[in-house]
Amino acid sequence: MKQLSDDIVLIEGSNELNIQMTPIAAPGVTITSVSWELIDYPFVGDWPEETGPLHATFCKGTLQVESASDFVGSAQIICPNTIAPVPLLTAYGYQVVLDEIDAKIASSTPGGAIQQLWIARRAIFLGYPKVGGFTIDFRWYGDEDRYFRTWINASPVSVFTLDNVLIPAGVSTISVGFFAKYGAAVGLFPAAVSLYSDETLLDSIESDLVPPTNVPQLLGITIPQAVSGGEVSPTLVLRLPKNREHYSFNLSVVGVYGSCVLASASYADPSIAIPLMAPDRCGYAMLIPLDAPDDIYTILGIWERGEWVAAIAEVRIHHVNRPDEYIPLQPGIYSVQLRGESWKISAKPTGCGLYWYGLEPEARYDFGIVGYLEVV
Amino acid sequence: MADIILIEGNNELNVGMVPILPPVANLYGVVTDAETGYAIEGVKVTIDGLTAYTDSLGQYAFAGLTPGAYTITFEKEGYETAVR
Repeated sequence: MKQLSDDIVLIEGSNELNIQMTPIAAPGVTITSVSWELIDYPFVGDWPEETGPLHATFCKGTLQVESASDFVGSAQIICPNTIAPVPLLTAYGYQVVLDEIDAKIASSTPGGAIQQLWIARRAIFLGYPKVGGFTIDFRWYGDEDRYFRTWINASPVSVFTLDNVLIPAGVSTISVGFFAKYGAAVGLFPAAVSLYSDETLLDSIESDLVPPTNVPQLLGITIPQAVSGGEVSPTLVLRLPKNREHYSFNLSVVGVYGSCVLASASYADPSIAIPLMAPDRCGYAMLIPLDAPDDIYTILGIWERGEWVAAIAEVRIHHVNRPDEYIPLQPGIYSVQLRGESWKISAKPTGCGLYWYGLEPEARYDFGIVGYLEVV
Repeated sequence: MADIILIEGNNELNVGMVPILPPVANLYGVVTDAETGYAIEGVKVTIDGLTAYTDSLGQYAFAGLTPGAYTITFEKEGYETAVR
């Protein structure tokens, strides 16, 4: 048997080998503070028509860091409703990826593979969104924008890891970013960010994400614990920014056959709302003026009964060629969802025509499941 | 008398043979932190496709190895991998 100088040669009987392992020296890092910023994602309205609006907001954390040495690590962000499947490239990571692709292009022979590399290079260099100093890494999704929307609407998780974060020696400011569901972007909730070198935790900090000022915030909701064929009176408290002219919200219970509205309200800029609220004999739901001193609005809902829903909890199934059906909700626990839309009205409506101005909503706010209703 | 004497006719000789056991090597040892000297638990020790993990005293052991030359790898998160 060929014997290598570094090998251990075992002889018959018992052999003893004691090893001393050298610990890897972790960089000394201290996160001294963090501040969070939630940025309304700028794709809404700017993307090709087929992509539709994006129901996510970009969250950016700014860390004040003291590091004993230069190193490239990773940041792990733990936050409810984080959307992890969207890789982000930091400025440093962006250059790393470009360099990797350039090296592969340089070493590739002409042919199909090199074309794919150029497509990948273009994918991150041109035409792909940059937000808050981060580049969205589209290489894995192909060259189709609509795939991105699919990813960004994918099931949210609570942990997102950002690789290739350059942490320079001394005192510096570094940024971490991730996407969150719109529903998660409203209200306060904790977010923690940790810095790692390889897999060694260096430091961690936690603070509350503050809601953005330009999307609605859900401040509170009250739903009865259980209902037995009676009325349901949820209360919904929202803070609405005045950067849109018209908001509408629906709080719905979702059953097997569809959904039933528990509460709804529409808010509008006073210049729109007041004329419509004047005695014009319109039969539409009233538009509440966006003029509360503190921008906080309360929706008081009631389970619609009358001809829409009978005395017991039901959902209406609409049919085109035959009468609508009313399906009683079987006893069980149903999720309650809150959704909203904001509109920008280009032409002033006249009379009752507000709902027929023909524009699409500028943004949709999917707050997700905000509670549960038990039908007994 | 060690000789076998054959006589006319049929002769029968039964012989019992004792097998020679192949040589066997055992390996044991302790893994410690090079800086603190403390035992390290959970070090992955790999030898010729066999894997063992050190216990709370840093001890590891392999039995029934064929004598010969081996490369042994010691791996643990947070430590430089050691190869012998």
